[in-house]
Amino acid sequence: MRKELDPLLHSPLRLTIMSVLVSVENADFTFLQQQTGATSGNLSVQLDKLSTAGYIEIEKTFRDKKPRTVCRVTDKGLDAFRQYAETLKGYLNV
Amino acid sequence: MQVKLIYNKMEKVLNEKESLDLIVKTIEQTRRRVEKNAGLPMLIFGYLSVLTSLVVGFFFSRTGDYRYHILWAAIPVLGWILFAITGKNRSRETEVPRTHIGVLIGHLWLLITGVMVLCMAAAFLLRGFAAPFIFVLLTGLGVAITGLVVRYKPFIVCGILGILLSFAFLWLTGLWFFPVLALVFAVMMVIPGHLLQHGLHKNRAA
Repeated sequence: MRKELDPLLHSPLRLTIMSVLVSVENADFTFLQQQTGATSGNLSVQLDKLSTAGYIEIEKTFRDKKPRTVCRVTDKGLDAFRQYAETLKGYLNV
Repeated sequence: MQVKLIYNKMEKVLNEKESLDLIVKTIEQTRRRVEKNAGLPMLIFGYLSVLTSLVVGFFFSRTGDYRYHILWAAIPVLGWILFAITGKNRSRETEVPRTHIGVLIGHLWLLITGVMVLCMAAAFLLRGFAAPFIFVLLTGLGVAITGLVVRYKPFIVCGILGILLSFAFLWLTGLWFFPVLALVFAVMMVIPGHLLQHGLHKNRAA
């Protein structure tokens, strides 16, 4: 029987966010916005969904008196991402 | 060309191949952006080491004053300051994150710098302490390990070359000591640093 793909990751924007975050130590909101090309509102919504699922951690800090949102992938998120990629490879026989 | 993905409220459902392609493209795109100036630390510390070797050599050969060796401390101090300044300039608009490998390499070089500072102190306290040999050996090791971690051949080759050349400083003395030291630092750090920067810019342009 075919394994189900994680519905949380099987969305273009959330998958892009996770792909960026697994590549780096952490990334701030502006960097994620530049890498994904998403609007602020849409990006915020998707980040909240990933955070609620425990896939990412969101830290709100200040730099030069300006608010800064930093995101990093959690162990749970990394496992889910690996599992998702493995399932995809299984589907495609690669 | 950078791939920009524009999303609207109605999200498209991806098939398996599109999902896998999206992961590969995004990781590759992020890696390219983050590694834009990966050769910069090697160039900063490389040029500083070359310059310091020549300056110390110039003053020491003219005066014979051992205290000029304190100038070696300029390498870690100025190096980390310049590294912080260039990093800040690069990230004025956006904080460009570091890769996990980048963090690991940063810690490796901090450790090497710490050991070098201890060796510097030992060289002032103990006569006959083979400080240049240890500096070149540690630098060569650092460059070679960095090359092995990031799988970049010029770093591996130049690092190993540096390790081998470090043993020459157990015997080398006299007028040629400092110019040879500067040359070894150039071979170990400046040349592979430029090769890496050139390669990264070429990749970005392609």
